[in-house]
Order: sequence, then structure tokens, then C-alpha cells
Amino acid sequence: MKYCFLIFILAAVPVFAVQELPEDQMFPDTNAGVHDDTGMEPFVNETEVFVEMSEDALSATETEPVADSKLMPPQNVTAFDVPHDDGEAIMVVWEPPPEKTPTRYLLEISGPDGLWHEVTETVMTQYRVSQLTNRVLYRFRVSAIYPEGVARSEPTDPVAPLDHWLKLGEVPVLIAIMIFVFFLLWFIQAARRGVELFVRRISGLTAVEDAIGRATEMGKPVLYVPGLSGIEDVGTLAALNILGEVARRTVHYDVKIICPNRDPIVYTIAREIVKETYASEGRPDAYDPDSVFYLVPDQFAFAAGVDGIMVREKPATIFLLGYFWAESLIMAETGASTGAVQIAGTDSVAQLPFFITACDYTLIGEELYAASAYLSREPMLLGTLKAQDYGKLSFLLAMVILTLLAVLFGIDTVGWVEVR
Amino acid sequence: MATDFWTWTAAILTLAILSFLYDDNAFYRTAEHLFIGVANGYSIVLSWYNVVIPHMIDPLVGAFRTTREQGFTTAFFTFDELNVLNPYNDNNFFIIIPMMVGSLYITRFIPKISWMIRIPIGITMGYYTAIAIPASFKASIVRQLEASILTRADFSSWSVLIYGLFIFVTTVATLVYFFFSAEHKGFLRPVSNIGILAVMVGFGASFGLTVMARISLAIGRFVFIFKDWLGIVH
Amino acid sequence: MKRKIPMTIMFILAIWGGISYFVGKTPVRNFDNLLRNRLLLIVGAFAIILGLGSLIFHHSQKIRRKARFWQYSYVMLIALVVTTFVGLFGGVRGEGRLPTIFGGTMLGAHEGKVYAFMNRDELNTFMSNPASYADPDKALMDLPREMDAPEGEQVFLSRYHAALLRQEIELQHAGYEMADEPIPPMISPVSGETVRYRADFKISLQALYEGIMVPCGSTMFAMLAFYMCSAAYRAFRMRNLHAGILLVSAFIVMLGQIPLATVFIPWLHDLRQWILDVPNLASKRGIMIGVGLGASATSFKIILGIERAWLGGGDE
Repeated sequence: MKYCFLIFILAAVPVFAVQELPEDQMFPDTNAGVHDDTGMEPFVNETEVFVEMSEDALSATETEPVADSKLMPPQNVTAFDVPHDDGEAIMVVWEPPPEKTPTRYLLEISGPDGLWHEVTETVMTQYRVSQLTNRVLYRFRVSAIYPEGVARSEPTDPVAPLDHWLKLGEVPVLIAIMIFVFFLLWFIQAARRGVELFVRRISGLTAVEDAIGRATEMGKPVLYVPGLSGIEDVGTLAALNILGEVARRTVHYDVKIICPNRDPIVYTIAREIVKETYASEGRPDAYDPDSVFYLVPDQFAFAAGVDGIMVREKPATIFLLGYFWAESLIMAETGASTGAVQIAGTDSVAQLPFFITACDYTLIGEELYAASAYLSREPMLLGTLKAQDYGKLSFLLAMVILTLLAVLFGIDTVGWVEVR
Repeated sequence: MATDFWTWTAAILTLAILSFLYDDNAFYRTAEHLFIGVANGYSIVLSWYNVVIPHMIDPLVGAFRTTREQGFTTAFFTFDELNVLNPYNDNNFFIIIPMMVGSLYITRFIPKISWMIRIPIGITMGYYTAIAIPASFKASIVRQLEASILTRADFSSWSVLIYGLFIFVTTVATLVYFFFSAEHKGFLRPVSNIGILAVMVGFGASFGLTVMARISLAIGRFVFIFKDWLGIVH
Repeated sequence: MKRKIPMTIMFILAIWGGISYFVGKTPVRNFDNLLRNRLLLIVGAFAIILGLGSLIFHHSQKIRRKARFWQYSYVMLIALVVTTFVGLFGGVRGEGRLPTIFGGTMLGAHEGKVYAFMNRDELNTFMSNPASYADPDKALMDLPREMDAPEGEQVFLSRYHAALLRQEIELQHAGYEMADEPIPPMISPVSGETVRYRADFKISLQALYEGIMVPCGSTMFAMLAFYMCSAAYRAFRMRNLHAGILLVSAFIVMLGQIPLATVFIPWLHDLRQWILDVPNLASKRGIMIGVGLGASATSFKIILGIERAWLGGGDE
């Protein structure tokens, strides 16, 4: 930790010396960094309060007719309903004017209000207009924009977007899910019949037992952070499943567990899991209602709080499992500097490099989901792990076969799996 | 030097948080607890203004008003925008149902019926786990398959082909690394080694791409201290 | 019953969620949106009460037990109470009943113009009937784009926006003496008196947000620069092959970003591009596929009731 200042200065020199940063990046205001794409999770709520609504996609701009008789408008402008969707989109297609290619096209829409609104300016010759109202008639017109003027096409016939029962564009997804469900049910049945299912050793997970044993020897607590996301991220659910397994071991070894939470619903579930584990392991008296608690919903306030817990409680083992944003490294580095054994795991690809550099064991992506099955050794859960493997195998097979078909026979296999 | 109270607060807090890089200390602890307290209060106020008022209080008050102004029959037995039982209308009594379900969370404090907390949890989990399935299949499987397939266009030139083949093989190797059913032995060993190698190179790339952005953030904080607060740099 | 009822309800919601994804019919889509954007939001809002209860319990417990550093729990609790009080009664921007803005110049906006007022009464008078004061000459300047307000709606300027306004003035009136006055004197459209800009003192929710949360949050974020360095150093010391490869690749990508380095080592840029295009893309694709399958498997496990940690281990 102490070296980091020196290294930071060394690393910062090239930024000052050679990197030409844009003005706003060089001198950000006090909100610096709050608009980082990779690290900052979207703060939906704040936007709602402080930022005025952005202009609607179909802003009402009545354009002046500036048609020029010498210039050619786009040809054969047609609009049709996007087939088999949820009735929100219309496809508009046109051909470029025969003689001179315009710099760009202006697409306009006229809805029930009878006024013309700009949809977009594009250089393409087709556009999918979305967010329309189902079963309402719309008309479109396209203007070719030349350096010397504008030529506008005649409006199309009115067309309405229609909704359909099955979204045909999603069928490849449906087929993939059905294949996967087949494997899933197959292996669950196999597990029920008592078939031995082999799963290879996963080093990050074999370390769990030792890490909790270490906490026992040192008489120090175990810190468990079930990610920063809410219940809508499956990674959080995976982390909660692992929490059950970790809690079972902490009961067994009689180690204190500390579990700070960021999402109130996740907190509620985590609390239930730990409490029930203590009860089912026959030690309801040992359960401390203060062990699982709610900290704060703000991303960096949470990191600050967890950092504080790490340096003050000095846990022997730290689990950082679930979904993380930029705060991952803040917590992982602080944990590493306290000398704790750290087991991290996330399905957030952007944060994995930081866990790998700062933690002792890292569960990469899928391993996080495999963890609860691996730790519990429950046959049915192991069965789903097998299904995952066969899913990957099918993917490989599909990749090879579709490539061969495309290359050898020139079949448009990309179109087969395209989701529209 | 700044004369504004909040600039001073911001500067002192910035220094207090930065002091954690050296070690935990009283300034950091104060800043941390202040931060957590304010952030929690802020989130309470936000949920009040963004959820409680627009989604609970306003519809109920509006529904009462509609009933009083339009009469019971119009409010309950017509099928227009005045119907107070239609959940799609702005003013409705229907939202009492989710409010009742939500209040089951509070049963945690009543031991006899505390199991009922599982109902709102189950509702939330059931819905979100289910919609996660097609969403993740679409984004991480079907879309990836679409992008992985090599076509005749990939054979247009040597450089394109080599790139394409490299990506193809590396994807296969990475998938093999994550295979749980077989030990990494025999043929699988070198393949999975290529896989983990590619994974590490890829992670390095993410790491390298992020460093610069983070350093300019740190510089931003120093600019705040030296320019906005101390006024040394202009 | 204690497990069957929640399980059944969860299963029904799961079936709905899964099927509605593939259905395009408008009534189905509408109900799905209602469920997601309103009903589930209301249900989830109640969990915040539990979270809050936990937070207060955690810290009051600390104070009662006189645990280590218990004094700081008072800081947390006081900050929580003050922020909530200020936000609920003073409004987000200080527009509520509780006065949270003291002194200073009242700035208001109407139809895209900024006006200055002597006091809040003046501002309210103006806002209640702006038409009678519609004297375009008294408008001092157009609003900067960030402040575009819906027509006729009143906008209080936050410190941030006032700073933007100041920048705008500096740009438009180059050479204007700005030493002590961030905003030039303006004429109140109500009383016609000249209003000189004075900095105000605010403890509105927005001021707390900008004065405490933003600096603390962005400093935590900025600390990542230091942590990245120490993490790289740690990985370098570990001397294991994987971390080594990671660092080398990171170094190449970083160096390839610097124009000067690519002048000395011409192939660096191509190597960087290759790393980004090939191993980076392929490995992330591989991980994503695994994550997609794993996430779906976890979802299925929960829906089918194979994984029931959330229901607890009890037999009932």
C-alpha cells in the first residue's frame, strides 16, 4: 500500500506529459467521474430528480418546406409493419435518387396529430422506427438532403404497426432455451436415479473450507459481501446461494460472520438465509441478529463502509461474491492490505481483472454459478452443472456446424440465429 | 482560496477520505460515517419522492377524490379512465394489493407469521429470475453464436482469415477451460491452457484500458483541491 | 404451507415472466410493464423499511454496547436524521416548507430567461403571474442549454447551475470584471431594483448531495488510481504466470495508448490492437457464454425449487 503513491506518480507522469486528454477530462468539476461508463453503475433515481427529461425521440419540429424542383427525391419510399413483433415498430425503406447521391436523408413521421415530426437523419436507405403505438396509422416521408437543397418524397400510404402473439424474431432464443432445458431435466432425472456425476476440482472453491478454518484458528470473523447489485441480477442470487454454504461452515467452526448489504431486498434474503442456516444446524442461539445488516445504497459510500469494516474488524477471510462495479478494487485492495485471505467471484467481466490482481482466489464468471452446487455436493445441483457443460458443448457444436455450412455451401447461417 | 462553505466541506472531506490511503484514522472514520448517513438519508428522500408519492399516495388520494366527485357508481362500475379499480389508470385503488403484499415484509417482526416475508421475496425473485433466462440467452448465447460463425466473407483475405480463425480457436479454448465435467488432462490440458492464457491477456487489456481513466479521475480531485479550493492553480 | 405458498406464488410469477418475454400482444406487454414498473416497485419499496430498521438497530446496538468507535455511530445517525428531515420537509432543491436556503440572491427562470429577485416574496409574486411582468428587456440572458426549463416552470439555480451561468457570462462578456461577483448585477422584474448577486447558504438536499456525497464519492472513485497501482505491484510480486501475463498485456495496452511510445516502437500500436481484437474479444465471449448458461441454470434451479436457500433449511 505504501508504495502505491510512488507508483501512482510514475504512472501519472505520462498522462500529464503525453496523453492529450480532452479538456473536460483534464479539469472535471466536482462531479468528476460520476459519468464513467465502465465503472459507475447507472444511478437511475438521481437522474429522475436532478436532470430534466431528455427530449422525446419524436420531438415536434415542424420543418419548413424547402423542396427544390431540380433535385431528385428518394425513390419508392415504402413503409411496412415489422412482422411478428410487439407492434411498436415500422420499417421504412427507400431507394437513392437515380442521378445524384444526397449527403444524407431526413426521415419524417406523421401520426394522429397530422403534423410532421423528424425521426432521424441517416445515410442509410432504411430505418426501423420504433416506440410507436400499436394499431395507430402513421405516414412517412423521406427528404434527400443535398448541399444545395432538399428534395422531399411523397408521403407513404398510412401503415399501422401490429402486435402478434409470438415474437418471431426471438425464436432462436426460444430454441436455445429449449435445448438447455432438455439437458437440465435430463441430468436432474439422472441425479434422481442416483447416477454419479463427476465435477472437476475448482481451486477457488476448495479454498473455502481452508479459509474458514483459518478464521477459526485466528479467532477472527469472516466478511461476506454478496455483491452490490439487486435481486434482478442472477449473480446476486448465486452469491446468496453460496452464503448459505458459507454460513453452514461458520456455524460448524463457530466463527462470526459479518455480512453488509447494499440492497434492502438482498439484505432481507441474506438475513433469512443466515438465520435459517443457524436454525437448521441446531444452533439458533448462536445467531447474532446484527451479523447481517444493511449498510447504505450508495455505491461508493458502501465501499467506504466496507473498507472501514475491513480495517477495523480485521476479518481473517473475505468473500466478495456477486455483481460488482468500479468499487470492486477499492474493497479488494483494502482487504488484501489487511492480510485477509480473499475469495472473490463475479460475473461482471469488467471487474474480474481487478479481483484477479488483488485476491487470492477468483471465481471467474461461470464458476460463481457453479459454486453452490460444488460446495453443497447435492446431486441435483451437480446435475444442473452438467447441463451447463452440455450447453457449452452444444454451443461449440453449433458454432462449428454453422460455420461449415456457411463456408462450404454458402448458406446464410448467420441469418438463422439472428435475433431481431 | 474559496469562500464558499460547501467548497470547504468538500475539500476537507476529500482530504479526509484520501487520508485512508495511509491508514484508518479519525478523519476518515468521521467522513465515512457522515457519507453513509447522508447517503442513506438521501435514498430515503428519493424513494419518498420517486416511489411513495407518485406510486402510492397520489393514486390513492386521486382515487378518493374521483369517487367523491364522480360518485360511487361512476368510479367503480364504468370502464373508462375514471374507473378507480383499473390499475392502468393514474388514480386507482388497485395498488392497495401490491401495498399489502409489500407490507408482508414487516411480518418479520412478528415471529408467528414471519414466514410470510417469503411471499414478497418469492414474487420478486420469481419474476426477475424468469426474465433473466431469455435475456441472458439472447445477449450471451445467441448473439455470441451469431458473432462467432465464420462466413465466406471471412475468407476474403489472409489477414481477415487469420484474425477470424484466431478468435474462433480462442473462443473454443476458453470454453474448454470452463468445462467442469472433465479434469484438464490429456488433450484438454493444452487447450484449456490456451483458454486461460487468452482470458488473462483479455483481462490485462481491460486493466490497461481502465488505468488511464482512473488516473485522470484522481487528477480531477487534485485539480479540485488546488484550483477550486486553494485557488493556487488557475 | 410455509414453504408451499411462497414457492407456488414464485412459480406463477416466473411462468408469467418467462412467457411474456416472447409474447408481442399489446395487452400482455402492457400488463408486463405495469407489473415491472409499478407493482413490483411498490412491493420492493417496503423492503427499505427493513433496511432502515437494520441500519438504526446496528448503530444503536453499537452505541449501547459501547463497542469500539461507537462515537462515530452518532455521526451516522445524526447525518441520517438531518438529511432525511431536510429532504422531506425542505424539498429536493429547497422548494419545500422548511427554509433550507438562507440569504443570497434569488434567481428564477421563466420561459428560458433568468431573472434575479430581491427576496423569495418577490420571486413568488413573479412566478404567480409572470405575464404582467413580461418585459423582455429585463431578461438578462438566455439560459445555458443545461438549464432549459419547460415553459413557464420555475427553476431555482443550484450552485452547479449558477457556476455554469457564470461560465456562460464569462464567455459572453469577455473582459468583464468578475473578481467578486460571480454573476453581474441584474434588475428585479418585480420591484425594478438592482439585485447584486450574493452567494447564498444552502442546506437543501441538493446542497448536501453536492457538498458531501459528490466529493466523498468521487474521491473514493479517484482512489482507484492508487489502488490500481498497488494491485499491479502486488500481482508483480506474486510472480505467478497468470498474473504476469495479465500485467504484461495491461502494460502493452497502456503503452500503446501513449502516442510518444508508438513513435519509438512502431509495432506497439498493432500489437495493442491485436490484443484488444483477438484474445480480449474471444476470452470475453467465452466467459459470457458460460455466464449466460450459469445464470440461466441458477434461475431454473430457483424456479424449479432445487435451490431453496432463500426458503431456509427448515422442514415445514
